Amino acid sequence: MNKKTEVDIAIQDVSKVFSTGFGKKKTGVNHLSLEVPRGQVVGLLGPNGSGKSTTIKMILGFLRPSQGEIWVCGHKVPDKITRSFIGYLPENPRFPKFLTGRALLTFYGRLLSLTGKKLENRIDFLLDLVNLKGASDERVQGYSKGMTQRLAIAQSLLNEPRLLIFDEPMSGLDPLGRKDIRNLISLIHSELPQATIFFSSHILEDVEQLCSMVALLRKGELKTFCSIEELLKVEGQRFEVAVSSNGTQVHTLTSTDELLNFLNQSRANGVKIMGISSHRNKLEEALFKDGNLPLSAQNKTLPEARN
Amino acid sequence: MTIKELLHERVFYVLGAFALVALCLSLLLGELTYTEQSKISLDFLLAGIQISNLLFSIFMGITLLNRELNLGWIAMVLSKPVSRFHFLLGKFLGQLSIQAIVILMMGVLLVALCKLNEIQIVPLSIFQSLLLTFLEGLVMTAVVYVFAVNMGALIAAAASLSIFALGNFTEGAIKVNSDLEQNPVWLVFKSLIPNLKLFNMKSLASYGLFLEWHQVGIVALYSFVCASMYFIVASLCFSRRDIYT
Repeated sequence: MNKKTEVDIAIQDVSKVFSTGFGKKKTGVNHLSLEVPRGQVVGLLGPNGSGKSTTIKMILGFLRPSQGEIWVCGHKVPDKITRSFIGYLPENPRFPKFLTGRALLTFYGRLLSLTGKKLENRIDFLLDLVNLKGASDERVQGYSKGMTQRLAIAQSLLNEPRLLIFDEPMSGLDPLGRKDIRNLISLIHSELPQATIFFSSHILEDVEQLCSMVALLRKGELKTFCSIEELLKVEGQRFEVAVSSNGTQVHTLTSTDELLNFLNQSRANGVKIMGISSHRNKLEEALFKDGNLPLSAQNKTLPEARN
Repeated sequence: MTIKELLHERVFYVLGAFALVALCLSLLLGELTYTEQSKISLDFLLAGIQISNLLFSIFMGITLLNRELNLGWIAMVLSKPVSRFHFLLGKFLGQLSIQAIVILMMGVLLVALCKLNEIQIVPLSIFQSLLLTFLEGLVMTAVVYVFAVNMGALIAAAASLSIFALGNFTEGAIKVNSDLEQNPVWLVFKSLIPNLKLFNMKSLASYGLFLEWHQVGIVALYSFVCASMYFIVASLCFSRRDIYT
């Protein structure tokens, strides 16, 4: 059944309630609705326990929603066909340690109905891409965390997926490892521009650098879903102008118009401009200021989010 | 993959060592008896194989599924277009293949031990006894999967051992209390527990006797139907459970 083919992930009023024993219940995700358009890099942001991993696991069919439905590339989850479009990188990828990197990729490739020369070529290409060619015949047991992560990325790309889902891809990595993975994600996006990349993270710097759109979850509820630019525009850009007049003074201006006016006036009055610096809001500032979120997801439709 | 995985499991080798010790002990126990020493030795040897096979069914089944779920390997497999039914079936068939090889190896060892100790055996009856042991393993492995997909390792092992005990003693209970045959609760209970007594031909084999092939066929059919039913239940439970890895 085809439905919602213009978006790669359509989450419709999904809730997940966990039983915590003795009749007690905990809501992991609460009435979540979200539509991820094709070809976007979407960051799913939120603090620990906000429902990011639960949402991802429901998209993959690992968890059954208590309410609502999820569609992936036009097919309803948990139909196994949905997973033929997906490349998945779990938060802590773990592999059977007795196999080599190449043997693992061969095994996962066969699960995707890839065989023979086609599979071999694909594995060679991916090992090269993730820079693991030299270690491909070593057992996974001897891989570092970064190598394991890169192997996991390679397995997620075996089927040239239309939708890549990465759950905290940079978690637990050192700064160099994080940079490696970030570069790899950028490379994947440039190699597969039609593919949608949907990843969760609480490392805002990574999201800011990689994503075109951001969905923010808090306590299982969607707080906002918009483009990064839109989110960073909250409270506008600000400029700091240092002028020499009775010593150095710094003036803060909040718009380009204001800046131009100030510069014209300074020139007219013969005031010397020592320097101008521009400050954009950091994602962190934008996200953690309650009430400043630009768009309420509940009242927002997808086309608006795209604009 | 499952076979490779099992061959890298420590518990597999522990069980293998246990099987060897069990066979040697069975032989020693048989020699301690005064009468029909060779028959009792053979009976013990076959019992050793049956117990080893039961332990393989329980511990390998539980280990296989628990490792997948606890270590998170399952996430990599189920994120591919693989249904949970096929995942479970792969594990089940992989495990049964290993069990078939282990029974075959223990059978060869049994014949060698019998030759060394000059115990007379009838190959056909030994073969039939080993075949029925394998079929019992087929049913028990399916039972183990029902528990392993629903509960923790310890409770699943205890529940599987209980089913093994009940499956061997339900027939005996009817002999002791014939009124049970009329009791509807008992009838429901009996229909849920596999009749494992059907797979026990150790005594026949130790006397060099064997079953007619059509009887073996009926037992085989029973084991396939029974194992399929338990496997379907396990698969339904598994397809509905949440996977948190």
